[in-house]
Amino acid sequence: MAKEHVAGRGGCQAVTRRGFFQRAADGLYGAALAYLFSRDLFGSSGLLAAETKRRVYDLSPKPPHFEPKAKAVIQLFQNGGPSQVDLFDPKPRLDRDHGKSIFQEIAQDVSSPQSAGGLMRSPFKFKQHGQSGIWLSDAMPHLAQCVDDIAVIRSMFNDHPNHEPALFKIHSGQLLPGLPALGAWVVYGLGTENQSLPAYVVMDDPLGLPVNGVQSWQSGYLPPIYQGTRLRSKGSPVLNLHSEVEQPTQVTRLQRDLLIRLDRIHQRKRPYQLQLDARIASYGLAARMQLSASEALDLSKENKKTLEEYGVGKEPTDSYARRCLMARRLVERGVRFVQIFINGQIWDNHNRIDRTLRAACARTDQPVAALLRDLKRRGLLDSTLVIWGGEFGRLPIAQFPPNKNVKDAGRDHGPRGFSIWMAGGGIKGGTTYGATDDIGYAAAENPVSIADWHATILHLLGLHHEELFFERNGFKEKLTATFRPRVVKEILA
Amino acid sequence: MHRLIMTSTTYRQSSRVSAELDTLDPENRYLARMPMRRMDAEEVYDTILYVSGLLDETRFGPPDPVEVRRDGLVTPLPAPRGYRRSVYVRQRRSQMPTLLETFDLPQMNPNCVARPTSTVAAQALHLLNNGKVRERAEAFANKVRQSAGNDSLAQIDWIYLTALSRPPTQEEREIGANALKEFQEIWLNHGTLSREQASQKALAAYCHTILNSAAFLYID
Repeated sequence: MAKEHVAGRGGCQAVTRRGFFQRAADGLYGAALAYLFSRDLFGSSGLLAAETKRRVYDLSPKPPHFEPKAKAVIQLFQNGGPSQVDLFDPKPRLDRDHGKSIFQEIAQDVSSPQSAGGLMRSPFKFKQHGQSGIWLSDAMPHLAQCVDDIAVIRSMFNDHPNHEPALFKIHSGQLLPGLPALGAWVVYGLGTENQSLPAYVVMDDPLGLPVNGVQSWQSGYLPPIYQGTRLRSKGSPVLNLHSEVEQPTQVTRLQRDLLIRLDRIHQRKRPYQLQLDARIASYGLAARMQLSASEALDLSKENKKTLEEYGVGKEPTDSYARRCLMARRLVERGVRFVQIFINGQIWDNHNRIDRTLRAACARTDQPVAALLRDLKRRGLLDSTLVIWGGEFGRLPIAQFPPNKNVKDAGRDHGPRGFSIWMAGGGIKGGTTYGATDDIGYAAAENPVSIADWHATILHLLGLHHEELFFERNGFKEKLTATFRPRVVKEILA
Repeated sequence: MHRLIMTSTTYRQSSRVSAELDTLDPENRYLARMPMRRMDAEEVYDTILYVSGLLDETRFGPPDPVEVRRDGLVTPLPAPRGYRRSVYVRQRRSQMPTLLETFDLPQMNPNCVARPTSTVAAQALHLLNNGKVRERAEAFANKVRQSAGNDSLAQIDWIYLTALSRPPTQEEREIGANALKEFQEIWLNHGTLSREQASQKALAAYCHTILNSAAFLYID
């Protein structure tokens, strides 16, 4: 792909037949203009930026800013705050100084001083794995077999010790609600390859939404067509996908045509209403999904071996396994961004961390490892970026329940240092990057901010974080806001 | 206070956006226009019932139960005299009526300080394919027939007044009349329906389309 420096969201690309009719039919927002200017002319001209400020927002594929390494993203979001010192980041000092109080040093981050204990050794055993020798605890035996494909960042940090703001930060770049999520930015920037499936798919847990609920995948000030579309992983993935009442196909077709005509009339009298554009687009997508979504999400098409590998059909993996397998099927069909959530707070291990963290791993470890292997076997891992992690980590000290029994202890939220991993498209497998201090409390070496991490994800997709912007009130809004992030080149292949 | 607000110039503005307004206040932060909004979840549910004449306006009392289908679809069951407003439907965290959930009824466990409005394909699929919505379109069609008679133009006028609170434009009237004729012909050619049955089916298809239209769902 030619290197292009494009104002805004990739400018205008070659016009497809569908794209042309969509635009011609809209007849709005300088659509004709967008068509008349060729891609080349558009690509290099800053002059046009102003004229094209108001454009047709759609999900047709857009050229990235430069050659991408990954075409799709699967985000395995582990809401709650997985404990780095019990999973990825072994700290011998916690064994040595088990029970020693460091309260004075970290008092600023202890939300519940009354329950705070001394340093606590991990109840898990750490070992090096694979050729790369990446450290993992025995809570993740399945991922242990895939470590040579992943890059672990041990020096992530967030800016807030509470779930809600920390989640807003990791999903949308700032501690505040109401801003576009990473997935919304990605599909705004790149559109999607498959116009018959949503561009940004969210599969939340049938057991419940994460903290912040549907705000985790909203489009914020970006046009609403870029928000995540929830698919269900229990029962029918998409309800009402087919008409419950039989009628001749001509009636269905005529109804659709009639609806489009009436909506166009309605829209024509109400220019500049992005909500109406999005609504008309959603009816178009609904019509196409009726033809292709059932097939895409039908796990009965998978062979028994695959289902077993993921852990479909057995507890406690079934639910998460289904979502992981659906994610692969969606990415295979050109969906740009798939985000998998788990119900509220399974990684929020305030007490009995030996049991509760192991339980969280038991639900997710096998499906996640199976997904990595499956993507790799199908040659999809090279073009799919898989990202795993939560909003923050946990403190190295014990958090005691009222009985003060160390066996029942857990860990409180720790935003200053935590681990995440990435794999696939453009990632140098077998890498460990950055480090926390000797107790695993705060990022100490090569700290990676969330803005750095976002910029790195965009980079892998061929997007430059400064060039991916949305003009609002004369200001260029960006995922990385006014931060000065650094792409973490050290983990790139 | 209400009078002061409601008689103010700001409050009485139209929601139309001109090029100038779009430049000066693209996101309507300064209230340069009335904000266009989609009906909220409860409004969508209640309004469809009301328009179709199936709404039981009985208030209070124990909540009406819901039915949970195997595929996960949750549908309120009727009260003795019809369906009551969504506020009288049993609200259980794990069994939110699908239509309400799809149209952004907030989850019950966390606090909701502001309702989000999403625009997703699931909403279109629900209104297009769901059997209950179809049923309501048929009831709407029956009501139209009773109230406006057999003349298609009178029917269209009545449908617009009932569902959209305004008469159709000449263009919309013509489109509607043609559509009714075409729907009827398809049904006549399709099988063994009488002319009257076909025209009733046609009317239901048309009513169903109106319940799906942007004009119905968006308030401006």
